[in-house]
Amino acid sequence: MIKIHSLAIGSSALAALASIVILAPAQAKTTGVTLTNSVLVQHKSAAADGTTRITLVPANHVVPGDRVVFRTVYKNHLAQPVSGMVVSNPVPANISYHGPAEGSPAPEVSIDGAHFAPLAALTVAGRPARADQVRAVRWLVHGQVPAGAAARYSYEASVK
Amino acid sequence: MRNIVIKSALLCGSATLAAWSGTAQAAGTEAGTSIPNQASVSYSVGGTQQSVDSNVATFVVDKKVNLTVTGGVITQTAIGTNDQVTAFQVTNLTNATQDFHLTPDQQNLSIPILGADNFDMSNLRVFVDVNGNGTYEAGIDTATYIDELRPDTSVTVFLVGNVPNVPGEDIAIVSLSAQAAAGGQAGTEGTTLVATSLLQADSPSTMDIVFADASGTFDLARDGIGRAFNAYKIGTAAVSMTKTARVISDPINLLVNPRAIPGAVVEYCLTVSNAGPGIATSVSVTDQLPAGTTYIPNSLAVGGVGSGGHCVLNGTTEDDDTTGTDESDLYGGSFNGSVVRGDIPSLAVGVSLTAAFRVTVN
Repeated sequence: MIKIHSLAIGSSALAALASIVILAPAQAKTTGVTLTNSVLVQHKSAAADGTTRITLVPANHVVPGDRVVFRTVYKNHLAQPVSGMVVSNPVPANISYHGPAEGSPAPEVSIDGAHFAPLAALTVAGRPARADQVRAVRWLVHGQVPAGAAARYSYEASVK
Repeated sequence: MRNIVIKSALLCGSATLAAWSGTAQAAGTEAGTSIPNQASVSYSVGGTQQSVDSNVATFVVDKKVNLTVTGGVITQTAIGTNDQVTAFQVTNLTNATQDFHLTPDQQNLSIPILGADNFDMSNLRVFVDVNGNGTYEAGIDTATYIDELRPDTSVTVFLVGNVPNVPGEDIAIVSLSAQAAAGGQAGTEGTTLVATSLLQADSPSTMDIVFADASGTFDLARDGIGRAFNAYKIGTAAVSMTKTARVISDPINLLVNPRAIPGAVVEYCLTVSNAGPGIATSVSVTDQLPAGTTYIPNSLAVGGVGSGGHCVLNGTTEDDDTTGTDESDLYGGSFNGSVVRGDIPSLAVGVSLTAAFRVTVN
């Protein structure tokens, strides 16, 4: 009994190890579609011409009220096109959604996390939905994404 | 001493304002909160549905130190009084619980709604309204720093001081300065917060300290310090009265070295003085007719210039009733059979006026 029991433990440990071994190359491989997420914060600095320059920097110093940009980049590493692509990104807690970031198409948004539509088409309790009520966003990629294609979607939000 | 006139009423030590924050949220997300974000993509390839998650991008909300100190209150007080209390409000707009150092200060300046400072309080101390009832209680409100003030909450801070007994002064401007200090340990005054250097290498996973308080009078923007001003105002007039008597004549010696013998005429002089700082109005001087004397009808004169307790120059003559033009001239006066009354509508600071009347010694 004891012998069998210890054997069982040994095999489950092995199984766990095996799954790690399988996972590791899965993360490292660049096949399929990859998605890279990053968060940036708007940094204002005085430009030489007297205007204020806004740059996006990694979110190292972020305090309430700061504007942050959540950026998602996909790339199709497959040798063939993919279709029906949907990139979704939830709005984290303590973050207030503002809108698409500069250079990004407008996403469909959702108040309840299930029903997506342009913000203007959504209502909350009979009133037009506000941007800060958005809890999730998604981008629908129409048509096919060719092999090797990549694109970047991002939305702007502030820290509550 | 500097004598500074502040044109605009910068009474709030600080006010928030990131140009960015569209909403009026004050403290916001608590410092140290980790905000993770993970996106996902679904697609179909060759008719097979696939789904992939992204990496998790995470940042930590840093500590945004901000506070306001509000004052601008005029506390009415009286000359020579002790333990006079004036109150400030300190609000923690930091997105974390903080301690605050408190420093009371005397100020020699002029602020439009408070007035121009012309004296200092003595024994000025600072205490926190520990039980939050808005009233200073000597045995209870003993804390001299703010301990563990939650975000978006306020606490009342009292300055307690004594008003010196010096006539002629009326405004003492005092200030309270509050400086953000580390919270996290109840019952211990934390160390002063220092902003994380922007030059310091950083990672999104550490919590930095960023000062976000606005500038105020005598404090810079983003220094973690807020200051506000209050005034103690001595609003009352210090009116004092002295009474002197001199014998005018007696039946024997007549006007030469008269003695206070029966039948002698004695003049009583009641001198009221105002040491300020306020103008005394509706000053009414009353005096019970001394026993053993008889009032000489229509001998009352009010409004004379008094000096050293003597009636130097008589004022307007008053009859004994309370009506007539003699009442409506500058001063009034009457005698009702036992009490002599003199009315002085207004007594300026530093001025002495008299009410004088004569009696016969019985």
